[in-house]
Amino acid sequence: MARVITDTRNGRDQYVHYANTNWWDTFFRKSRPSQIYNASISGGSEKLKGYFSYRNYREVGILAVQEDLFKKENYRAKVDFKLNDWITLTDNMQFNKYDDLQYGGYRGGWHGNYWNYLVYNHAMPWYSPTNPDGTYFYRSELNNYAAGDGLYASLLHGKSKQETEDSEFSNIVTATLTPLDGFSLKASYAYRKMNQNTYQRSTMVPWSIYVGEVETMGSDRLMEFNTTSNYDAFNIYANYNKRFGKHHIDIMAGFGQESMYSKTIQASTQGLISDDLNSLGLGTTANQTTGSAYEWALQGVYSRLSYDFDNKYFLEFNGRYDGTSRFPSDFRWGFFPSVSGAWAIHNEKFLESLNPTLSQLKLRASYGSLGNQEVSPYTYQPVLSRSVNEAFSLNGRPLETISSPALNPVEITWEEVRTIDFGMDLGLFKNRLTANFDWFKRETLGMLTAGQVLPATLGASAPQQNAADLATKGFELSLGYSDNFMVGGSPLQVSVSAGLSNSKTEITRFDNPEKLLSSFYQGMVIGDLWGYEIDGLFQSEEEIASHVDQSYVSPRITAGGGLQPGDVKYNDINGDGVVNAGTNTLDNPGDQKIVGNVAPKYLYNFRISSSWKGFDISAFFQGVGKQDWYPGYNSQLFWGPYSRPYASYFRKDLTNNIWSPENPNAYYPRGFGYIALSGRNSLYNINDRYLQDISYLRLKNLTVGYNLPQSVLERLPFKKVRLYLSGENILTFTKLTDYIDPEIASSLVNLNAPTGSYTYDSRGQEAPMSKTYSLGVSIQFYIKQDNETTIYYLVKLEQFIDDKL
Amino acid sequence: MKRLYITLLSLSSLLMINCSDDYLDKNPISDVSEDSFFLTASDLELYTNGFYLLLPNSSARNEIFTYDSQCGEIVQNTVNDLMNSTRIVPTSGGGWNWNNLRDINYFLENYERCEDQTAKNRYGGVARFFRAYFYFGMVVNFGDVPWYDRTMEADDQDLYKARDNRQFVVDKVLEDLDWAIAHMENEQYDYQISKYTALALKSRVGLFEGTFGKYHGISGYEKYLEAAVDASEELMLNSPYTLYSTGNPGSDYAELFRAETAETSEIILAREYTEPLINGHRVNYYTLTGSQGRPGMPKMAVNSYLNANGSRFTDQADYNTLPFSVETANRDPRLGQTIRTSGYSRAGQSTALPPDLSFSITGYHITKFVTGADSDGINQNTNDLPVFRFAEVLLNYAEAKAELGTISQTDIDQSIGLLRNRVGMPNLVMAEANANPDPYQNTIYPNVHGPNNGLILEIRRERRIELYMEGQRWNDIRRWKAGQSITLPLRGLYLPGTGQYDLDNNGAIDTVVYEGELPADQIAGAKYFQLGTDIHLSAENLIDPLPDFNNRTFNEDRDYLLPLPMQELQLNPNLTQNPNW
Repeated sequence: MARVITDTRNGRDQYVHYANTNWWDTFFRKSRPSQIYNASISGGSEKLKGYFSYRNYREVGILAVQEDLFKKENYRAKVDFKLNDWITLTDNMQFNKYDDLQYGGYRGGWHGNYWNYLVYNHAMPWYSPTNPDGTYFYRSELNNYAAGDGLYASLLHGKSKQETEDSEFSNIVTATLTPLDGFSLKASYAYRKMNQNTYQRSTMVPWSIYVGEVETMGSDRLMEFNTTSNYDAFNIYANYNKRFGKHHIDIMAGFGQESMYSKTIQASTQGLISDDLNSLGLGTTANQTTGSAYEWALQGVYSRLSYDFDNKYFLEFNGRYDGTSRFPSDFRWGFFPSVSGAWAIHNEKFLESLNPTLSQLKLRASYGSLGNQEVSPYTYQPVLSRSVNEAFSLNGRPLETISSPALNPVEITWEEVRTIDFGMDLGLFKNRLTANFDWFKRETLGMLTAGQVLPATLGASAPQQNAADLATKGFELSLGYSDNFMVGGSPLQVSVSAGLSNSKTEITRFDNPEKLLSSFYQGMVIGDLWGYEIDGLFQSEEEIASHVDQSYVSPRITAGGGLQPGDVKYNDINGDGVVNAGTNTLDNPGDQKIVGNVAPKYLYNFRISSSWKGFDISAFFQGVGKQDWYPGYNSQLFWGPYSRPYASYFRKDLTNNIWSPENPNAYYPRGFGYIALSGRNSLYNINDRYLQDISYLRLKNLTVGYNLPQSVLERLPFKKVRLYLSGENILTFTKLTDYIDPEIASSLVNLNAPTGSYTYDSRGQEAPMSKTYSLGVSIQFYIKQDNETTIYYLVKLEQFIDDKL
Repeated sequence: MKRLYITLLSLSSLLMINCSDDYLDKNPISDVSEDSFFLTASDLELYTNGFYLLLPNSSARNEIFTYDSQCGEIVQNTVNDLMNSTRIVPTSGGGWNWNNLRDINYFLENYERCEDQTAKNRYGGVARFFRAYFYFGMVVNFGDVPWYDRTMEADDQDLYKARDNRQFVVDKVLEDLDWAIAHMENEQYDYQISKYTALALKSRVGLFEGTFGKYHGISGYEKYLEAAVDASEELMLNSPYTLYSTGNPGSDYAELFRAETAETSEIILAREYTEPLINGHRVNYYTLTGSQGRPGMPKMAVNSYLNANGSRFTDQADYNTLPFSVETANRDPRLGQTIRTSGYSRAGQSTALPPDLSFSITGYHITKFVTGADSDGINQNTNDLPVFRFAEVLLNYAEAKAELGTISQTDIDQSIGLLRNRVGMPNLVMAEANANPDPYQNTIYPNVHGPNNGLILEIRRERRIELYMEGQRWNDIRRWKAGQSITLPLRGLYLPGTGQYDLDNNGAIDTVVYEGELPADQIAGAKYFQLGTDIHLSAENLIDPLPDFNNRTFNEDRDYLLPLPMQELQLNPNLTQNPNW
């Protein structure tokens, strides 16, 4: 029987828990509502046109025990002012703000993203979140486990929280001059100011274990961050567009520059006079401030020349000359030209007879280059970086230090991406059936990445350099069909479209003569994952005794008593009598091989939509045909007890599938703690058995709508009224466990990391998976004849998929 | 025409744009460059602060009180790869990390630009102390290592040089320490490096390299033992340090380790833990939670504590079959201040507590460093931890002199005698020790020979007891070439089969060992252990904490040094692997 009793142990009266708590249901909601309200108005006169809109979004968080809220507002105004028949001034203004309130905290003070691990720690069902006198449970006496490391008591207390207020103002003013026929000049200035203000508050959290004694844990601390950023951009370009008979030319030339400045101030204090007020002025001790700032700038000139003859032959040249502050002055500028041509065969006389059966047939080809300068702003400049180590105290203060500069590249410049593309556009039956196909080959020269691996005695990591070249080949295909039929006296509109793309990237240059697998190497296919091969689970002691030595890949089991039936059995691929990593090089990978590839392959989608009378329906499917993922060692959701046996929640589809003598064909090995968590252990090692296929097909969106008929609208003061119901992510087909979202797993893959292009710390448990249902109404009406107002209101319900935990 | 003017006027705005490189010149605005730093005393202090992270206790899970578990001096419920002889050659990492050295060398190349001579002497000394500390660690782990005394650049050919001889490197280490000792003032710091810390490290390095050389057959070791003697003597004669004592032999030793603020009369360097910062350590949690490995003292260490009258416990024929309360009574008072014995109560409480086998796998339930119950949560301890303390210097002194063969009874009186006196134990008498070497200690250290054989065994006993749980044991075993000692069976306390036990002999049953079904009527306050599952017993009825690991091996020709990572051997062909890896 579930209860909490008082018992005398070690000479003290204390609470002893024999509860039966569903911690998840106690602390989290099954679903959450959100709403969007939007109003816009547009209209004006010949000389002056305006557009205004306002959007308000409000979402309740996942917590059941506190009200965490996310609010967002957007304001937009746009004015076009025609000064005369050749000068127009446009001003486009936006203001966005959001406010995000989250609860959290644990025994160490503030902690926000509890999905990372806190939620999974020690919240055992036999504990109750509160004691009989209403005080919070934090830890037990018998095994000294702390539920959520103090998270749950802190959530109930509700005073440890983080609030982020973000605001962004942007304005673009543009002048357009058309002094001559075919000639225009456009100049614009954009300015954006962003301000982000965050406070993180933790308070001491009261809890109790000994009857009548309230203790506290955590830290009483307030931290504030303020980041202000200014961005401005100036652009001016001239355009000349003229047709001479069958000749058509379009010439453009321009100049642009942009710059960014950002500054962060961080301050904290401790021992606040109040638990409820969160102001730095209330702190009594350990005040600290720190700050940082950066800037960058870009400048460039660009030009385009295009020509076509009789709408049949097209030719275009493009060129950019760009400079960036991120590279040293001798390596700062890059020139990126491109050329393209097309032949619209359907406009040729000799195909006229096939029209309109063959309504479009166009061949395209292009070759050009683009630049990439994405490195951190001061990559080439040596600086001494200051840091504070909160966990190390020196003379009563956190350890403050400054350390030697990182190794800085001397010669670092633009990464250049050269692409050659051949394409074809086809349209049949008045373009009711369309097809587009592109084949491309892309060469990345001087990819910006960490350079050659150097001996550790250097004492620093390799600097960012133009260290690698890549080659990518791929294609994109899209097909479309749309048509009208008369059904029941009304037109039935149907359209179907589908897309498919794929590409493969290979490293063509990287300085790694030893061909270490821990780094890029020439010939490596991006996304390739090296791992071991598993031949099922051991089923008998005899099988273990006759197998090769695999202690290298199962040290914890070896240290915890040795292999037993139910443990994974590693294959000795190279037949040397021992399972290991060899020298971890391409020439001697030991028993590793390429077990999969984490790059997404065969991305596809299709959309079906149809309307009839006032009704419309559309469905959008999205999928990835092939992609692998190896769950990170800290994925408690995936690995459960194999990662940390004290996890609070386990997947049902894992607990039902663990090896035992009665269940010898189970997917997971015999229960053994931590073998997915720490280095070289049997599940931690990437292998083919537990590599996950995260390919999926998903109904991303299904919308059913209804527009009120004209006959009804005539009696209402509205121009258009639309009601609709939509669902997001309502169907997913995947081989991955239902508890992890394949799209989230896919997003955790980091293809820029050389180490197997894979990050170990990929959990897939950032927040529970959800399906969202929305109900919306959209109303359009006129206030006067020359303006248009739209109002829509949307209510959403997001349902979390956690019921199987 | 008007249109042209306006258009040209608009275009003229382009002239306002700064088309030169100036727009793209962006220099760091919140980090300093090398030229503007290293100018003041506070610059030097700020930079050298970072070096403190090299020391033990620098982060959670790196605290000294867990170090002894690596060689079985603290028994845990899993066996690590050293104990189990399953260490492997790592692909990368494995301790071959040189980032800290780069930081130190960079400092030493730049700090002379400061014009404050006092500051240069102090922080130059701090930096050299840490370079010595860094290289000492590398030599202990890897033996020969390449010596670098400048900041390496990516194209420096010396990145590809071979390893330098260990004695060459240790000489450099001693040079650095001598520089620090000569230049730093006679100032005492609780948490920062001082001249005295440099002396204490010199004493440690000298003893390590001296005894390592002696027992591993490397000639020229004597000068290192002499360096240890010199440095120790300097601290014993010309420093403010003494042994902490309030005249209470029954509690002074325990108090020294659970004091909130380090007792700086004895502690030469401490790691500070303070309340408002998020930086507690976890010694209470470690020893009072079932999930932290259930640390326990092995019986072999318990056996090494003398009887209170100075006689040897293991001279008693029945030393393996005494009930816990009898076994631990009338022993060196440090035993009762290191583990739970009869009458133990938590700091600040009076309830007597028996050893708890669910928290301590051998039954010898460790209490050293453990504070009051308000710090029982994980990382809630804020008592400072020692990094160097005077007692070690005394032990280094006695051992170095004994190994050199220059020791006298007076030397013992000034070192071991002081340690004994603090806890109310009779002094060590050199002549008696040498006349009758302890056969039990001799089984642990069979390679000790010569006229001081008996005395050296006693000094090792003293060191093991005094410095228990302070992270020295594995390095001691390495320098003594006593690797076989870690293969000896690990045992816990004596429990003759199933039954009800009153371990602390307070009249109440506290521990029940049963077979088969859990008894229905349970004794309140007692803990129940199923024989064969929760608890295993050896043939002699001693707790067998790790029944699967009674046949462990130690490779004498390999295991004293760590392997170099595979990747480094690939990157630098002049690096050689340590023997037999």
